Amino acid sequence: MIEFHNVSFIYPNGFKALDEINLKIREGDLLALVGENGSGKTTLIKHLNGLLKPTQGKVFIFGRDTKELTVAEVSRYVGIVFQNSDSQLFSETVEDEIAFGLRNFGFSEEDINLRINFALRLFELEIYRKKSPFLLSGGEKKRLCMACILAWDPRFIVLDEPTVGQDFLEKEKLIQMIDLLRRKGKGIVIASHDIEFLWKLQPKMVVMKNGRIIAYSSAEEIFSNSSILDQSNLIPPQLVELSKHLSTKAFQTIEQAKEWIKKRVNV
Amino acid sequence: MFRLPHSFIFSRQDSLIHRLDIRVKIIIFIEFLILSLILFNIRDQLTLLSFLGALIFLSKIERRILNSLAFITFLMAMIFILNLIISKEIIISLSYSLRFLLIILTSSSFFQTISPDELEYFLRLLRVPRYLRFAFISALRFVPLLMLDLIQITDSQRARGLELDKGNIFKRIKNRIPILIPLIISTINRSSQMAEALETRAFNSTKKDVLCLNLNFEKRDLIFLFIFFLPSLLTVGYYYIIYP
Repeated sequence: MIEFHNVSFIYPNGFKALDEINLKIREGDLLALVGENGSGKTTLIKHLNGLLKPTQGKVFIFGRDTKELTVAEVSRYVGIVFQNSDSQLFSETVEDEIAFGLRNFGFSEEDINLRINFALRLFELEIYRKKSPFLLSGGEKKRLCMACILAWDPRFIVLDEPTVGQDFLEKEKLIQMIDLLRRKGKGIVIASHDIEFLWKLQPKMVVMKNGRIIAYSSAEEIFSNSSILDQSNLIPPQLVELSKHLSTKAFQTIEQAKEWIKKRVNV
Repeated sequence: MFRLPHSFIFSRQDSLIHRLDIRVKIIIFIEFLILSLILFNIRDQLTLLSFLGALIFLSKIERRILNSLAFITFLMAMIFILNLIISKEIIISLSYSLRFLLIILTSSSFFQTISPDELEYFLRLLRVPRYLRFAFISALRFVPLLMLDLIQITDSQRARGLELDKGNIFKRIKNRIPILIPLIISTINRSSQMAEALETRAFNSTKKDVLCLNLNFEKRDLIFLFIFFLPSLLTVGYYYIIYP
């Protein structure tokens, strides 16, 4: 479990990015961090694997204070996939890129090979095994970054803006992947502005504003609360808007909306 | 390590020095630089240092300077030790260290208080060709972005278990490769994107050079010019009038 106890964080220039954050994330949870730019999402994410240490308060990973652990020690349990894929790719081949993290964590060469095969298959990157990561498309690079993290099987996976630069099909694949990871009992944290994408996943939502958590609830409750939406400048997904216009409970899928309309118009 | 380059990047502040006319800033910079190079007496150097300190405080850049002071002190210590070994004179060695400090602080306060537009004007005064001026100013504008990239890339690789400060010196250098390669690639990508963006906006289609800078010499500029010209007046007065 990851626990935030009254965490505040102030950058060296004096900007207070996190203010008294209290949060618990369990394995199997699917949590979405939403909020405007500068609300503190990325700063919070960087506390999850100890890249940043709280100015005040404590962050515990499985009961251990991150201040007493190195980033590498925490990253073994919490894998972060950053927004910009280009900021981490450097190896000559795709398989070397995946092996980089595994070697850092001290896996045996035999284990590394098994894990590379697993990750390449999982993200449909087998045909690019010997190709340079720089020659992949934007979507493939993103998948490779996720493969790099999932290869060492962390217990929590954090995705920072996973849908940026992804086309419709790639987003659908991402949803399936997140579903699979959730079923495997992984704790997943997603920071995203893509409300339509998040709505399909139906996560628990943490709404942030000026470094504070202003709401923590299910996606349905958040999007039906106009006060929270106004405060955080969130726009509800289209299905929620449609259900509001039809004065009914929020549709979670297009199929639900279709069924509801069919019944009413007797088609 | 990441803090030293910040000492040579323009710091957008609302200070008396930042508001000064560019020509006054250039004169003060050249004056301080010449004095830093010619003064060899520790008493004179300390006098100049006190003026420089006042300039730094008035510019509100003391925090950035203090952040980089650890590295500067290390270099000063190296200069002192090397000179002491060669000359075996404590005073001379100390004077060389102080000279280095004065040069660094003068350049640092100049670059932190002069905006890229003002710097271009300065280069124009020095008759630097247009293409070189543009390349230099663009590179300067890229530095803060590169610093952000560097932090982002370092975070990404540390999140993959990379431990930068582990092992001996050779291992530590090798550990920097996963940071340097993405940094070089992102810089090349960024500069090529910038070139394309400039071309689409018809950059360099006219030979006429436009200056987007207001030059206003006010009373305030004159006062500051006089105050910060005191070290030169004192030096000239002392060495050429009192003790010629």
